[in-house]
Amino acid sequence: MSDIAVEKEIKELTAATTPWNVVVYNDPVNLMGYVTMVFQKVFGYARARAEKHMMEVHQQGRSIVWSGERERAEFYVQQLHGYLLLATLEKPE
Amino acid sequence: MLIRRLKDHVVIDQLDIFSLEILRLIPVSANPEGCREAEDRLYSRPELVEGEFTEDWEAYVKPELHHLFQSATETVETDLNSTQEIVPDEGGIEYRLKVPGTHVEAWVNAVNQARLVIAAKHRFNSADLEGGLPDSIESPRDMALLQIHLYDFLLLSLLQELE
Repeated sequence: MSDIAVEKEIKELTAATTPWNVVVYNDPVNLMGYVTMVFQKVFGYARARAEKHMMEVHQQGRSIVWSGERERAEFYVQQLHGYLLLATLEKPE
Repeated sequence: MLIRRLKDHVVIDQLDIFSLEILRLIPVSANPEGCREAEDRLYSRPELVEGEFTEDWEAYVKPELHHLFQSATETVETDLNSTQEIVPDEGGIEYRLKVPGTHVEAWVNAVNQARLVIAAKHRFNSADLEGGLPDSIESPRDMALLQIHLYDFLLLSLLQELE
């Protein structure tokens, strides 16, 4: 296998295995208690973990609430939109 | 307004006619039609840069979200239609609304949806929302702010019932 082919294969493998991020952004309307409840329901997080992410969203403007394989990340983004949170699917730089 | 759990229902009790009318506005207030900002808020972007995922989203997910949002407001509308009139011993008229336990999540979603649509339509910012109740109701915007505050109380009370 040529060096170029190996490099291409490594890139493809890296792209396939790099986790995708589910990111939630702050908005001024959703209540803090509501956002915490959504994180608990969607991800099954314990209250403390859900509140940590909620506070990150509130104070830093965004929080990576979950990372992992793309299909599951897409599912979580859809769930979060169902609860009207501002959520996006993002690939780490 | 008093919100309490009664067996398998959540009861919204001691409602005066004004509060009831504001609750009756939930379904219509949650409707974003005719306001681009409100529609954009309910159907926000699923990725920062539009790509293949967004195309699939528009085709398959957005209709599902529309159905989900509509279904929640229809549930609320149905429950509101069964509001009971109560005549307390001390006189006057109060209203009682019984929300089945299985409908509480739909109420949470619809009330939050209404808050987001109202805020988008009136372009409320953090300062507006954190500024408390308006001193007096002199404009549709004051009324909208009062409506959001009442929905805040209702939403937080319902969330407690979901815990």
